[in-house]
Amino acid sequence: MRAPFHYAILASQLERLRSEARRRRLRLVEGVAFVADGESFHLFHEKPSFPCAGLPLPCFFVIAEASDLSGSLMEKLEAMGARPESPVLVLSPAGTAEPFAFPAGSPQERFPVSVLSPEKDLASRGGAILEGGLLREKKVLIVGLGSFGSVAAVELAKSGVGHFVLADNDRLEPGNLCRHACSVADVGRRKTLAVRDLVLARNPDAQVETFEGDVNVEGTWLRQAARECDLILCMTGTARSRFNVNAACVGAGRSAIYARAVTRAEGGDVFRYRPGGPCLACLFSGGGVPGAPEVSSARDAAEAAADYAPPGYAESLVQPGLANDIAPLVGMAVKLSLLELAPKDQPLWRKLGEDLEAPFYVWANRREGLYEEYPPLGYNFNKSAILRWYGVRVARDSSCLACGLG
Amino acid sequence: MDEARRKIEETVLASTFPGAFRLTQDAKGAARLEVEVTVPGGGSYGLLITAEPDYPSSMPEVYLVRPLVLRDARGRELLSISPSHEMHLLKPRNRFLRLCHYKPEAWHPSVTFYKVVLKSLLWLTAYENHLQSGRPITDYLGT
Repeated sequence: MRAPFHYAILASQLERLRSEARRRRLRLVEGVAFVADGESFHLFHEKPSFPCAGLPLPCFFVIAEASDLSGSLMEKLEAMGARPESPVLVLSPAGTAEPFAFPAGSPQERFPVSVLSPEKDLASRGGAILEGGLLREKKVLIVGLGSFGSVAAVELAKSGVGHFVLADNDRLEPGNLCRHACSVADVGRRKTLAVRDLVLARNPDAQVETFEGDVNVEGTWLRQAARECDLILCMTGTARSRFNVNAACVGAGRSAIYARAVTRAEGGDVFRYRPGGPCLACLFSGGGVPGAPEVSSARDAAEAAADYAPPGYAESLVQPGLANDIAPLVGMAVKLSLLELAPKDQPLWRKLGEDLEAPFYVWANRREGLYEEYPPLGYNFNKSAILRWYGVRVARDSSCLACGLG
Repeated sequence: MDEARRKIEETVLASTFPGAFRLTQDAKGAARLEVEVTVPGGGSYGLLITAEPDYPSSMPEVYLVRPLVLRDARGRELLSISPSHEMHLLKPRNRFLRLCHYKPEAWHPSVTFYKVVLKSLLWLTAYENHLQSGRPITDYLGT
């Protein structure tokens, strides 16, 4: 006996197809299906907004009641180039019956069709923590789509955020793959476009804008984008871009989350800016923040190395940490982001709002460098140790020239 | 650099280097500060500080523009030994000496041109001490 096929279609495409068929009195519509592993078919009558697994295959949509299917229809399908395995989805014009599908070569078979509503599913799953659909209208700007920003974008899409502005001027390089959310198939692509596809693959109804410029140069764009978004995530690796984002967020009166790793991702930190509170420049002018930023690319290395560094020194600085070391930092950045985006009456806020009161969080991955003096984790819970979050009080610097000028 | 920031820079510079500086910006917002400084009990020097339009998010660069030729204690032109860790000199640009002032990780937007000038003055003081002692500038300013 043949293993059952699995057919799926997006609810939004199904609805549009039904209404278009009604308007234009269509009975038969061509489309494309992506078949993975020879048994899983995703059907589209419009171009999908995200890359699909598997290989494309012609597919057909029949708008008719099951009882109206006739032999002449099968002949018509064959004439239109249907292959025996081409999926045929039968859609009741009035929506009175569930859609079903069959391979064009076996019209006597009937398989159910999964109608996918990713946005609805995303909203309903976490309902006990965050009421469904609340983040659909929220808009986030993510600056920097490397190992931090790419993962954060996907996590926020999974949490139901509906609008994204993705900014990065780089292309995905083979060296990025060990930590990036994108895959080897994306090497050479703009990070913005590759990450956009990941977001849309989670939530095809999300609205995604991209910007492929340098935020250090395109200040006007950055300030405007900050004004138009509810929250800004700065996931870049350089102090300059972080300070430029800070200036834009302070000017626009928008909250921002900054995450970074320090050398070889031995640890890292996450900072949250809320209008009226200490800004990123306050954090640095108020005594500085320990730890040199992690250098994960040759370009960052060239900037970090002094001109008089010996030959080969810049290259030696490129020592990115493991994806596993980045994960807790991105996780915290996303958690703080959700807190900023969610209304305060949500269950998410009930305790977490108190727990995450501090504006600055420090994390250590290994007892190296900055954290060399930490005692071993062992069984202690009352001493500084690796793999724990530490909230740090940060006061607003009254002489800060970044947030005190307004 | 926006208008508010420029006002602050000018106010501080006017009170510390009255009549000895000129701050200009081009159409894109890039800034140039020309300033005359004197090492206490020593010589006078002309500095040119340039900043990208996104200053103070980015760190400015400091050039020594007067005197044009500076020599070390052994009589070598400093330009010929740049960049130099021992002398805190970066790669020259347009045949001007470029001084190392703030470390990139120590830079933040509340650092003003005034503080950059002070750091440059420290370099010049160390340089004059180097001329007398022959010891490298790192001995005075650290690494």
